[in-house]
Amino acid sequence: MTARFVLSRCFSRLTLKQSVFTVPSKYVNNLPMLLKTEGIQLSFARSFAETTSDEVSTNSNPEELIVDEKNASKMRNRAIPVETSMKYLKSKGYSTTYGGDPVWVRYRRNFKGQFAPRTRKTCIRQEKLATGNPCPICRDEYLILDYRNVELLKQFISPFNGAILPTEKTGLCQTKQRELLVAILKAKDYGLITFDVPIREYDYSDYHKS
Amino acid sequence: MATRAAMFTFSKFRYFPILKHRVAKFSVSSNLLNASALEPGYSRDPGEVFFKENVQTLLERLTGRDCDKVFHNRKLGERLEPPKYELLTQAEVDHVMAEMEVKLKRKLQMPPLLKERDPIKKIYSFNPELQGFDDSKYVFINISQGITNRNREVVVRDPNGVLREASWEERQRMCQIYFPVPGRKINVPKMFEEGNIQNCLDRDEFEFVLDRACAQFDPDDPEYISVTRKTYDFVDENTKYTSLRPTRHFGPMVLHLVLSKKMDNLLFHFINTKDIDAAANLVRLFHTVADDTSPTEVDEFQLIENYIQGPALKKPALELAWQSFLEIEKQRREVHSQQNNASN
Repeated sequence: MTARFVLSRCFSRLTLKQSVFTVPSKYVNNLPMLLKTEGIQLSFARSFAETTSDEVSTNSNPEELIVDEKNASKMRNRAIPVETSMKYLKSKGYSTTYGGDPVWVRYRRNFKGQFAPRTRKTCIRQEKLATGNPCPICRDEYLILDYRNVELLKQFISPFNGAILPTEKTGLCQTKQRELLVAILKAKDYGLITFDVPIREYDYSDYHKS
Repeated sequence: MATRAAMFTFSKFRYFPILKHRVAKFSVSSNLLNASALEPGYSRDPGEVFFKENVQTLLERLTGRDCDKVFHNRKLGERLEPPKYELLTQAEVDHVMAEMEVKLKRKLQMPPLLKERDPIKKIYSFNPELQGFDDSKYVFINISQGITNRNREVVVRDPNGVLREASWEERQRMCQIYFPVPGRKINVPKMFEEGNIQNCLDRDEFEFVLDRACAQFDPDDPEYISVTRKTYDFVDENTKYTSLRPTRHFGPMVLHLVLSKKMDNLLFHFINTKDIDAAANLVRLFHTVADDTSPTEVDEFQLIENYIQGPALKKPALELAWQSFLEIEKQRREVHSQQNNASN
């Protein structure tokens, strides 16, 4: 069975000697590698580490670029800056995807029975998604949990009592929940997120010797 | 010399060796904010004025009592319960109202306005024979029950052999470890650094900044004074008094403005919003602070007018506002008297 490959828009900038479109399925399972061409980082392209001798006759170029869109969307090795994430939250793409709801509202967990078990430890292993139903933050690579990204952090704070929502409600994996806690704590430390401070009571006799 | 034996005769002592790399932090923290905190520019020592009874009553009257704002729902991460409805007799209602008065007083207790504290310099003894006993200093604290944190003994043995009383920062840190104040962090939150406070103030989060400053610092801490005065001046410059009006911070803010001779903006605000009681109380406070006199005029209008003609600094704006207020008042009275005549 041959896997289907689709050329992406970025490839139009490349000059390829041979563009490969149909390749036997064994090459789909190669380890992904990053290729840099003309300053653009291609995270979704793979190259052959080794080719076997009987295939060489058809493709003599050892560094052919194979594009696999289904697995390309699972890559999570790009470090996206926070400012991009903050811009994304105001964009049209975000509002059409999520409506006006917090990002976890339209996420549905898969499990057997009535009561959900604990969420998984992590959705991302070895820089790619390792699950078919990743948590609300891992599935969208432009949602970055950072202390400056207050709009995103506030979606995980309860509007009724100011507590951080548990994973039973939001469906975040454990690593992302920990990152969220750290980011919220830091944002409160910097004063970017406000909260009700416990009232300090004074004994005036400490400060006024009459 | 305060020997080790003498120290162990105190009811309970714990020693807390502080590692060398943390020693440097104590000296840095006191100068986090800029040096303008050292010169408040007040006409009098605020500590003398703040605790006087007449000043306290005037400030309380200025603050008012907006129960909805004071008793607003606070989000503290607790489990929420549905509200309870009870059927009470008049006596029970009065009892509940009396309890509510007590709670209101507690919530509206004003944080004291004080001048900066002097650094602690007391040395108990100097034992050069102990030099180099360790790399770090040892801090000792008396954790017996029944003493307030202000009076608690905290002493430090430096590696050069000096036995001295702990500095204010060392005291606060030790007391926070053993007797934590809710809402206070051991390390000063980054919110109180220069750029970050401005960010909070630009978003109009005045109550949050002031509440957090109250929890984090003591009222005579130079950092507390710097943060609070910066907030008060910002509120004054942008005339955003309404957000702070029903809170416990309004009283100290008004006193700060009166002492630093910046009360005219506030008076202007009161006249524009037609709050003559508050304007009169403000003028009375001015006289109390300036020379301990309470003015003899009974009529509030006369009182305010005398102030505007006399000690006011922003005469043009105030006179204009006052004249337009008087006109509106005259028209209102005419309409009122016409209605009375018509009904008779």
